Amino acid sequence: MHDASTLADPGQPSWRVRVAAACLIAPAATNDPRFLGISLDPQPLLGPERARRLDPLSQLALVAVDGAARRAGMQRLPMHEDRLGSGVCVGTALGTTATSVRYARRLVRAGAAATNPIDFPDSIDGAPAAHVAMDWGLGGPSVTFADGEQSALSALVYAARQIAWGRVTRMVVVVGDKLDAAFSCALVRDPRFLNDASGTKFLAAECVFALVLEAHCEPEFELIGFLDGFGDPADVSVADSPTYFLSQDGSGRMEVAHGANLGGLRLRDPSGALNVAAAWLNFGGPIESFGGAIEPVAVGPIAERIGCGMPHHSRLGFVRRRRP
Amino acid sequence: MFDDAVAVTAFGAVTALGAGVEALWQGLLEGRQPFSKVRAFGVNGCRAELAGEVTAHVPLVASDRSVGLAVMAANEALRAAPLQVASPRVGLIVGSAGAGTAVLEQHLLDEATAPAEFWRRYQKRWLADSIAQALFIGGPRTVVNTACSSSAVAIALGVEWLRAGDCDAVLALGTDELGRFTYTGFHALRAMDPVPCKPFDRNRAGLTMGEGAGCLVLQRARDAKRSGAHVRGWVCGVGLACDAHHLTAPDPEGRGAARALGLALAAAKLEPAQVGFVNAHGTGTQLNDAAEVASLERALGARVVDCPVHSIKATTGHCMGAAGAIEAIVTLRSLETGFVPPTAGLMDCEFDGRIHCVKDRPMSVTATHAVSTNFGFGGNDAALVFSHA
Repeated sequence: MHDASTLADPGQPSWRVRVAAACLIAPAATNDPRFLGISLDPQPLLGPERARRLDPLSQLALVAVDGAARRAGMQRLPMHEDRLGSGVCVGTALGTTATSVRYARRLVRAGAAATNPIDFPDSIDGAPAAHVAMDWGLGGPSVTFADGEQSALSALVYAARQIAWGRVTRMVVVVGDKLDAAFSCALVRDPRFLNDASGTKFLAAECVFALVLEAHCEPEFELIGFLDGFGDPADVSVADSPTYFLSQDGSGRMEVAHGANLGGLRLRDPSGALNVAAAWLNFGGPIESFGGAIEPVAVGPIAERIGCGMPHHSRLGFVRRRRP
Repeated sequence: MFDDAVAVTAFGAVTALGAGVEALWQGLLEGRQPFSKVRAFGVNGCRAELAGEVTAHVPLVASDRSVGLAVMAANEALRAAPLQVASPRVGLIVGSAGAGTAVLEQHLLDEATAPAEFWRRYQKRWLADSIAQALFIGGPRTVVNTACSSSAVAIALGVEWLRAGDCDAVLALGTDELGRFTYTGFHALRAMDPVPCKPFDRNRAGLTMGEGAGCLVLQRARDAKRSGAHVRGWVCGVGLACDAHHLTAPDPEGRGAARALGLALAAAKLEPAQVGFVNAHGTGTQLNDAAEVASLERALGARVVDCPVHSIKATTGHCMGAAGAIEAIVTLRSLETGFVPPTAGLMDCEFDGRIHCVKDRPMSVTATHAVSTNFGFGGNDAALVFSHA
């Protein structure tokens, strides 16, 4: 197993924050081997009216944040003094695609008179963050990174730094994408995402992963895990990161592993959220999960550090700290 | 870590007032309103037909007008800043609200023949990749989308990258072309004025859309001094907050916006009395302008009554994700020259006695510090504090 502790000097992280809780809405195996979508009905949480109205990415963001925030002991509140120092950061490559497509389709077919005033504001990439902020009364920064396959890590680095630099005490982070059918069709035409049994290429998948980050705890508390900013611009290949696989045995089982391809089909999502989720799962991080069953494999003795590559200004790792 | 200011060593802009910062600045001083019926697409069925389109030649870089606008603004800035942009220590941060919507419309018009790469072009990351490729920028790059505060957030993020040591120079850029998707969206929300917008006016009836790009070159103070760069001004404080109130409507009490402004002033270690003037978001919608005045009262206290406030959106149009960068440049030019451009279209200020709106003609000011604010859908509030070089 790859030991990410070699990635940097563990004694000198440039910043460190606590991962208070995490929640993953995982990709589920489907009959279509070209696309692994999410199989989750958000209505039980959101109600039918909100589920009908909101963009699917916003819906999934709210479900994932609900799972993580409850686990972190947060209460749903309207805007409140206690939450002025809590923010939200979203990383998504495609954003609110379904609503954008719906809005644009009406515009293309029937002109301006047919456009929907409810769809338009929900089509902006920042809408999921706004809904999370409103639901949980978060008055701190609300920032959305639309950063391709770096989206997830860009969002995490930004959020962690806000805490580490003392600007906020808590950040809710949501990363991932919901692929619209129109995009799934286009996606499978992209040679990088073609189904390739050799394992050298990737299967397109979607997921939404939420984390609640908090300031460093006092030593007497049990600390669950950390994001470390190693502060070193040296490159780390994303290919070395923990990865999500679809087992090749036909069972539809999901596996998470770190390092080499174990023979399964490697999943890849547009925002890089699966890599982050895989790192957390492989680390053994406690998680609330929805969707397909997940089976961490090849974990062995849990690595002290599990890293994710970020091609530019930072690298991330989850670091285990045990109760003193 | 946050004690020292970040230098703005160059900037560039393109708007409906023309290509280049000087065209923008002269147009603002004259109060020009370069609006005409939209030429880029049909506006049948829309309540408003006006917009501020860029009539200067825009190079079609990567087959995308937003990229072309960005490259124009960045090239102007880079002509004034002696940067080795190919260095991995020069970063690019792009703020954009509407990127990708034009390619989406194209795709939906003809899904059968849409190129396979269209989904990559739809992603906003493609914008940064294309701009970096066109300008040979060798360092990290990213894209933020916080609607109409996007490029103000890009500047804030650039300050962070520099202070964290991620880069030695950052191009903080905002760009948005006039697109049918966004234009009709504001029409659907009944947020457009059929005539040129009138920020802070009693008879204001909505915004007028524009397009453009703005680019600021940011460097750490010590690097700027060491390289002998011409410092045009300083970013002394940034503040970001969220209303957490409504997806489109601002908090009528302006609490989130006031919090952002308070954070920015605190980061700059300034008191409200030291704010020389405010370049307001000032869209000309009923709700925005009223909430913005409330936020200024909340954040500036007694200073608000005589602090000059102006908006440029009745001259440039609302440039969406590019607004923050363009307005930051205007704020820096005001600090340099000692003149605050008038708020075009403002005849009868609804908020007289509560704020001091600059109208009719440029106001001469002696200011060392100034504030630029931008707000976006989702309750995104951004405030930047700039200081005279």
